[in-house]
Amino acid sequence: MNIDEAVTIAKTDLRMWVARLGERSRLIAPTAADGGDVVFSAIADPEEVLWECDNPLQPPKQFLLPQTDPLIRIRRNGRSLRPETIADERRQILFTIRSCDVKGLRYLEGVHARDLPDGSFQRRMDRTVLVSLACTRPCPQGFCVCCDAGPFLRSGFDLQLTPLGDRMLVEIGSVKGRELLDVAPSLFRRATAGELEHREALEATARRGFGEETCHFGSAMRRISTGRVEATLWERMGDWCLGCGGCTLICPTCYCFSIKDKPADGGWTRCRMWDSCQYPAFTLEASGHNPRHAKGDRVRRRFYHKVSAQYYQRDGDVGCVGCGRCVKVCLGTTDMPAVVAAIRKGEWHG
Amino acid sequence: MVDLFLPSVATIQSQRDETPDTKTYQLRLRDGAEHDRFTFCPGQFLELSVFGIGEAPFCLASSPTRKDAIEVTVRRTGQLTDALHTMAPGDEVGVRGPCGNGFDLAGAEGRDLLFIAGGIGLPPLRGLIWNVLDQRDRFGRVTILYGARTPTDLVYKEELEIWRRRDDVDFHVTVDRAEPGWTGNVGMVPILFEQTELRPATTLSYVCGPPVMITFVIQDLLMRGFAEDRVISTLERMMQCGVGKCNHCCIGHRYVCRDGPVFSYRQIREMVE
Amino acid sequence: MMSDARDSVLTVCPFCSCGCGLYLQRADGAINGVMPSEHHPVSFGRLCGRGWAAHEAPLWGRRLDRPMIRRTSRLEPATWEEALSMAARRLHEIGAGGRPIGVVGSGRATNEENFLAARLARGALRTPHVDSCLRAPYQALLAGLDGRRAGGDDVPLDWTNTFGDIARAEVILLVEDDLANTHPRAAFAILQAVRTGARLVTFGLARTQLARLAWIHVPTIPGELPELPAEVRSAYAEASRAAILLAPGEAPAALGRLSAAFAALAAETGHAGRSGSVLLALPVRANARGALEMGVTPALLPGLAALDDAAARRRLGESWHGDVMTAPGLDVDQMIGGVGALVVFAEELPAALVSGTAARAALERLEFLVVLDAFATETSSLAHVVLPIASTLETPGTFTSAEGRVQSLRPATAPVGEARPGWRALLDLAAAIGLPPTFDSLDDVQRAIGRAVPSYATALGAGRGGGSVALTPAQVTALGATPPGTPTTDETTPGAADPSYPLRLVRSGAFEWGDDPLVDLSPTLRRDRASLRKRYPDGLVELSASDAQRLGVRDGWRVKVASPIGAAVLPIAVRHDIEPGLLVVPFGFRDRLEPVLGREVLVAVRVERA
Repeated sequence: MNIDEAVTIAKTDLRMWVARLGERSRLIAPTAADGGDVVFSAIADPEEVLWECDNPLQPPKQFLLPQTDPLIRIRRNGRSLRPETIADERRQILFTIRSCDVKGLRYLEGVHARDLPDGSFQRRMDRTVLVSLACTRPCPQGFCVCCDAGPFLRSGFDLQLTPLGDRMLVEIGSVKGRELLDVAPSLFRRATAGELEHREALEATARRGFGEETCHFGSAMRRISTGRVEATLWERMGDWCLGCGGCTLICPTCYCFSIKDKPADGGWTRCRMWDSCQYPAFTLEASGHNPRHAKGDRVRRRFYHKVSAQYYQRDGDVGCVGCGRCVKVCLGTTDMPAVVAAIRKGEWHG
Repeated sequence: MVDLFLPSVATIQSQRDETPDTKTYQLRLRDGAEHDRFTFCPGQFLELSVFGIGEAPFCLASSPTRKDAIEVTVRRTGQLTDALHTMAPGDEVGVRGPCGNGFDLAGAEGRDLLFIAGGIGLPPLRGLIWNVLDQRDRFGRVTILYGARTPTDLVYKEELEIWRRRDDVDFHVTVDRAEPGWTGNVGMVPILFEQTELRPATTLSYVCGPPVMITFVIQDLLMRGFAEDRVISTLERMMQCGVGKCNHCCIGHRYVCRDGPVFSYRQIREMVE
Repeated sequence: MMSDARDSVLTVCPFCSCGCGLYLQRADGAINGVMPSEHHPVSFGRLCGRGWAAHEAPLWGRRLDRPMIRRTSRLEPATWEEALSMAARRLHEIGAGGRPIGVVGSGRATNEENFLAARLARGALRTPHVDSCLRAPYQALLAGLDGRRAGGDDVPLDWTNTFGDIARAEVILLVEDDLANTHPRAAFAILQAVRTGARLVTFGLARTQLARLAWIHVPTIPGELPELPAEVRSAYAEASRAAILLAPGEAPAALGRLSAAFAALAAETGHAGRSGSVLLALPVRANARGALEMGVTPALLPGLAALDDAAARRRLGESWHGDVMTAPGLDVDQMIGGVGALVVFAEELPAALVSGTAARAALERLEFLVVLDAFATETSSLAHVVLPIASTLETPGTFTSAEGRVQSLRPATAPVGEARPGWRALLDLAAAIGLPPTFDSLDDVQRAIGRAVPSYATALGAGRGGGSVALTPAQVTALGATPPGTPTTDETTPGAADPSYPLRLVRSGAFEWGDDPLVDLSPTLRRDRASLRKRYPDGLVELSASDAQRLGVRDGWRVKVASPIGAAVLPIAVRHDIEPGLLVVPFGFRDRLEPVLGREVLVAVRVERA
């Protein structure tokens, strides 16, 4: 969808807008949590929204794909079974998520829509509005510029907010986004040409801020797609991985899951639950055979899915948005930038 | 809006013991109209649920030309199959499907067909065999070579006899180890190659069975001049969703539940883990 | 405004003793996942595979949700009153009849719960038999860290013993079973150190992941003191910051000698007490340290005070009954088969005890068994009275990590059904037995702990961030003065090599997470062990590739393993990371090798194809 309009709102009016939005929809925004962390949370009061904070470690994918996601309710009456879909029809606004996370959610939308569309995901996505906050400076571990996932976006958001001094620019990316303005139309006015130029300048400055330390996917993609990464390299990387699965669980574009039935009310609830290709048992067959028994094979699997040309063609985009979360969460040294560099150079520190 | 994960309910009509640890179930979808609408290709599979325990893939063992019942053949290997084996006619299970790509029947028209199965590898081929036999004049010669560990381990024992007696089918069976009363071949499946005329140029061959058996048989076929894309097999992996979303069954970027489970040997050889 | 109540609740991981923080995620009032905490001073945004599934066992596992009693042969639902009064009545009868009663606390339970379990034993039941599983190896390790330090009595033991310090060390000496598996957060600290050039020396049974990254690996059998290579000693001595990390398998007395040897090394080289250097013992369970410090041990009072320490007894005060039972008691291994009645708190005994299925048989023979737990386990199925309690995700309280951090747990949801917080259930049980509660709230319990164990007064009162505790030399001395475990399980007698038993069989590890309810009831975590159990229903023994080749056996083939004690026939699994001459039985399969091992950790054996 093209940006056909941009408006601005005074920062002092944001509170009112958020209050109005919250009347019709669950509003999920970065909030302060107990341990000094910033976490995405459904807010009860506009004051809870943190406007100046780091991107939360947890990605907002959990609001489309909860870690434990009830899909089907199975009722039982004697021998007779009655399965029915559990439809989550709540409306939600993901408020001030970052460009990388918008890209991640659009990627997830794509993979769940392709081939056999997942109605459960689509139902939630239809009822979700993405309001992003552009990043005017790079975050320490981020490399979104390498994945065309930030720091600003041209599309993919329903609304994109950019702070301009005492006003906030609001770029409208979709009809859904425009509808959010209608809850308090008097708070918004058209953006001026100067304001739009200011936005362009902020984006340029932010992009320059990433400097030389970036993650070059191109050559890594070529090598991984043509099988030119030595098995011994994966093996050595595997020795620096503790198999925690954090990289995949925290990743905005990862979505592996398992399905399990939970007893409930005399019947069952069938749930989808987060799983990870980094766990040995992910590919463990009933016979006991495991095609990815070796840790290095599992590390290779992850990066094949994220970075190969074959998956790029299949899913329409590279499986990384450069958010840097895997760097923060890794219980070893096998984060995306480190492994991509290793693949490119054919070298590993260990 | 499609619900990929919502199972239909099927009722067990009857069951038949094949071997001490294998049974074939005849299922009908509880909703009659849904059952009548249900259609599939041989080689596809069902995701069958015993709620509370789980869901697992089972190849469709019946032919779509015989619509009374949908059949699956189940060997006891764990919790879910143990639970299934305690179930009786009238009990209900969940089914989703048909899943996967199935055999390309249209592409087999006019060709000679060679079916090679080992042990529990016969169920995935049985549906295809009956589909072919029910439309016999669409196809050329039909040869079936089947082997199991012992005579007791042979599945579909009565049907083997039917195939043996048909004069439009060249059927041979062997066992690794004989038992009292067995007067047939003794030895592994490749010995049956000597008992039939193989025509690599015109033949599509379908090979299913334990991994080691498949490997040896396929190598043998290739040596005898079968082209890699005329040797067809099925792959098995750990599966959860069966609809190409959960990523458990991936081999490289191929999803066994979507791009397979039927693959040519050329495709299998090209797959990168 | 439409919203949920707080969606993210910060608490402590319930698995190992590293003490990582994590957020319990909630949706619609129920726990549905976990998320790491970026600012947590231990975990800094990371979690291991177990931590990421910390929500699963309480969510998916069979929960105990109502009290149950066994009037006839089956367990039936009952009210709390019925259950408590039956428990009190039967325990009184058995005690009056002169038969011993034991109380088993838990490394899985909070400090407050363990304190009240010890109070239940020594205060209410007036029994000295109180212990927890896996306490003995840890106590032995701590006891060895005694005395031989520079600096005198007022140097606290835990000087700069944090994972951050390990990450900055130049030389690291690691005694492990497989640290990457048992304590991933600690292993991460080592990875960080080695990444920046630190030299790692590993001592352990197998060439583990960390051993492969080590500068030197010293194959070490549990029960034997490793030889320190000269170059290791000098590297350690010359480093300005060096770490010793002790996380081995079992064999308690040997562990005491082991930690004493390393403590001596630290003292002799000037590392003891030096800022930046580390000497840290790692117990298995999240709150093993807390359980020990709260008095769940047969030979010490809370605060690791000697039983005859009058001041310690006074500090327990009236809340523990004026006349606290201060005799030394049986340890948990001795209790099995040695008592008439047991009260078990949050423990699955056959999984945690070395005696395995023999423990189950002994439990079946008990006159009376009371089980307090959140999960339906084998142990609870054998009980005469079952009291349902909250899991650690549903109860407030504190854990003390290996580093000595006292951290608060926060409940993310209410206990299920009629389950009560564990501390409340223990107070109620003690009251039913005749020790009225002088506490009314968890705060009261914490204040009582603070009075009994002064170091905890500061730590518990330290507010949101929690505090830390450090062992004093006096405490370490007290630890060392008490027998750490059942004698028959700890001494390994090398003896003269007997040519008819040329190989050695060793039982590996102190604990197998796979059988613990927190793992076994988690769909994600249980898969590996469930698959192993299914593939090897007859058990298995592991041997090196070269031994397998020499014997002419392949993976999965059966062998006969015979020792002077007995023999067993079972399949083998070939390992490429253990030394020739050594067979290993994983802890989870120890029962099948009991005829061969008895209660030993290490025996000489011969092996032949079966």
